[in-house]
Amino acid sequence: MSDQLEITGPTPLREADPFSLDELFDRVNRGLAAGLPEAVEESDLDGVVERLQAARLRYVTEGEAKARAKDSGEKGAKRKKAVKSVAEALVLDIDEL
Amino acid sequence: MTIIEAEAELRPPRHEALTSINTSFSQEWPKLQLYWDSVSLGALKTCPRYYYYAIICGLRGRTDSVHLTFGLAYHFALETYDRHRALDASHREAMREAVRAALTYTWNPELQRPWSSDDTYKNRETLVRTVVWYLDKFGEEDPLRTLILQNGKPAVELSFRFELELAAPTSDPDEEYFYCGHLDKVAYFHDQLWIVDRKTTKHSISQDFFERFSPDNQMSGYYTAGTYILRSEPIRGIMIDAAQVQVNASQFQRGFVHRTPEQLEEWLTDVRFYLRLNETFVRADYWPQNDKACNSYISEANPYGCPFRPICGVSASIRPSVIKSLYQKHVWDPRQTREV
Repeated sequence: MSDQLEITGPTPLREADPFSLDELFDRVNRGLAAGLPEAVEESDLDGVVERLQAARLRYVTEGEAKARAKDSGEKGAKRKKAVKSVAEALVLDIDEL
Repeated sequence: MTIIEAEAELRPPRHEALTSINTSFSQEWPKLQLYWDSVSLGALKTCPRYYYYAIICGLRGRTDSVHLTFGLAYHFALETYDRHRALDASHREAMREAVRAALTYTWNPELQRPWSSDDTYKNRETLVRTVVWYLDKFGEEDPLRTLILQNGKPAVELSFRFELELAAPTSDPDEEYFYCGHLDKVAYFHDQLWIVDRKTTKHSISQDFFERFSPDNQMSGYYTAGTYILRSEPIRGIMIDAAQVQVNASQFQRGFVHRTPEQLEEWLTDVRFYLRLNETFVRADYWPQNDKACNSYISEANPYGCPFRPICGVSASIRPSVIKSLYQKHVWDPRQTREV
């Protein structure tokens, strides 16, 4: 299993795109307040989509990382138990000698 | 495979105003409902008095249910996506329009402000997030393929109506009982036809969540409708397309609901039984309380039980003032409305 996570995320954010998600919501609201469908900019809607897609990618990536860390932790505990068993067996052998 | 016969009367857009007259009732017996749906039938099955207040009187609490608004907006956004994709819009274009639909639906043009929800789980921001995350997960590579009807339109928000083969007790020979509703979507999944029903919840989605849909009034009605309107192709089942809305994330899970022909026949028999029972109430002009059901309505939408508890909990002489102060008129007409 590869350690590299293949990231196929949303289209990259546009350069020089300063608006946060809240700011984009405000811009859309101003367009809706104008009462005309064309007053809502397609670029603002695309911006909302891209930011939420990025948030989902972070959420999914963090979730997978946590799952891998948990899995490694469990394997480590089993290794520790096996090593301890071997050590205890060695001690017995030495005593018998 | 194509559909030979289908009642593909697509539901009109939500923004059309509801008529103040309920067209689902008899002209001859004004309190006898002839056109039923899962909301009105479910109300009658739970408590006749609840049915009386909710459907015959058309009462609803003065504050809008965030769950109802969220659910309707979510459905509308995904329906918009499906319609645009059926018109050969790209995934990106259709997603943009879905977001536009969600934000427009939750904009109040009269008050010139967005829908205000103080619910940390279901609000405008989590709505748009849930729509985008759903379409990001399923949209472009979704194994579900929306059925395209013979008229070229996608099978989304598919209205149905079928006869219950039960005559009404009025003297008008044309008056009989019908069952109505709207299917969220009909789609192919691994080359088999499924009815898709979308649900939103803030609770975790496990096998328990899907098991509560058997038995279930709404699902049995949908399944029966599917057998009527999609006669040339058997329905494989109902797919519950569930979205869990958390404070900071949204997760999705799909589960399956099935019915045998015997179960559907039993449901129809029960429906006819309840309609005859309602005729008894109509003749007496009295719908009794089921005071064992007051806590049956505990849900996300009604955390304190039946929404009409303030009415039933006081003497009859005081009820008109309680109704006037706490409730508003909202006609629920199965021939026109939909449910979530």
